[in-house]
Amino acid sequence: MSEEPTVAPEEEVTTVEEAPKSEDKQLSDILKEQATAPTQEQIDAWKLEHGEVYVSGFSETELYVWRPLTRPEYVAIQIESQKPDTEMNQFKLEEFVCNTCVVYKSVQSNWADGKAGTPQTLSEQIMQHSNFLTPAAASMLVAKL
Amino acid sequence: MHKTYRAREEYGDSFISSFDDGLVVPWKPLSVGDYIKYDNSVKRGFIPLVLLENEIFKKCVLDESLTSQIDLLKAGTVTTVVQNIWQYSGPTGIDSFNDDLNIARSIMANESTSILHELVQLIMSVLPYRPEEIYAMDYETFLLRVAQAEKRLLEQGVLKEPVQIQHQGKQVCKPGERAKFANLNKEPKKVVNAKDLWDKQQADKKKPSPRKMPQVEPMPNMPTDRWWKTSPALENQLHHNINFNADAQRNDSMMLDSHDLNESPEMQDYLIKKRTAGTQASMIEDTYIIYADLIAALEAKKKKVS
Repeated sequence: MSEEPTVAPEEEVTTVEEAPKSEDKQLSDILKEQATAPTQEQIDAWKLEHGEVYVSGFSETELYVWRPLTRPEYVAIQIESQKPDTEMNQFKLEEFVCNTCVVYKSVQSNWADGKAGTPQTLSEQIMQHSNFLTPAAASMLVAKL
Repeated sequence: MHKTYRAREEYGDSFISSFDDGLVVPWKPLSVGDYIKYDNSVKRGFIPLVLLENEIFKKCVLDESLTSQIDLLKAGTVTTVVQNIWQYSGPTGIDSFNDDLNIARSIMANESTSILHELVQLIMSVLPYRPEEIYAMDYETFLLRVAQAEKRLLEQGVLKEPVQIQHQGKQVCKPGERAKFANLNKEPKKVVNAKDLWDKQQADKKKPSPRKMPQVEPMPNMPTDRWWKTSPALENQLHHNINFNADAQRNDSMMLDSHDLNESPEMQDYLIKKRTAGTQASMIEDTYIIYADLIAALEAKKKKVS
């Protein structure tokens, strides 16, 4: 009678998953960590309504969710700015774009109470993703069939 | 790339603007007239630029789904596409205009198609076609129109020989092939025989050569009938009615007519002399006769002095 080989019991191996570094985090992950973060259903609803939704993060606590500017909104801004008695200036235009397109702010404060460059930077991002390009960049898009 | 092929299949020869989000917008440039019109509108500034952009977008974009739902597009899509349309619809500067014109010149100079452009001009010079209509013809119709225009120009004498395509500086047609058209509608050269021509001219001559002036016979050394009977000093006393136009009438009678003016100067002098021979020549002769003694005395004195 042969002896059956013995099988050593498997040793329990405990693995410790390393906590990911903060710079490796995606903005979406940081957004989820916010106290007032929008739910996935809310984000899906925004996508359904506006087509595309973006998130901009200036810090781990200052995040903005926004959508591109539409043509009617841009036309309204331009017509308003060309009126002779208009009060529209570059600063108000930037704030107008941010107010129109931002759908979520992690910081609940007015633009006047926040950092000075936030409206300008945010509006530039919004305009860029609304397909406003420089003439040089625009000429790169053209192809003759 | 597949979207480009689909756009080509659907919209033909046109331009496209491809965005990073996958949107492909097919469009065609503005006409030159529309470009000028919109340029004036932009410079006047009465109409907001955004409204002109919408108008140009709807006019030039070939996809109706985009033009009908322009409000659903991103704000910059319309602006960027119109920017592209504007760039390809007119000059953006002097340098770009010169570059674009050089490109057009190179297209015209293209050896394979330059002859077609020139034949378009040939057709337009005779037949009532516009360039767009000619360029829309198929090749067979095009050649038929070229032949028709060529025939009319040959009849009018504008063309001396049929149209023939040759390489620049190099003759493509073989001599035998060229001979097919060499004598077509071409009169044979006339060979001129100079001797025969001279003989014919001499035979047709009836008048003597104007270079041969007839000899004027010398006047006989005889006193002629004086055309005045008394002394010239008393002439005015005898003529109660003075003809103030005598000199003018005398000049008119001696003047050369238009036929005589075509003669050589020597011939003209001979004609004048012939017409005035009855007056001037006889006056001189009579003067010599009347004052012969005085003239002889003067000549003798001259000899003594010399």
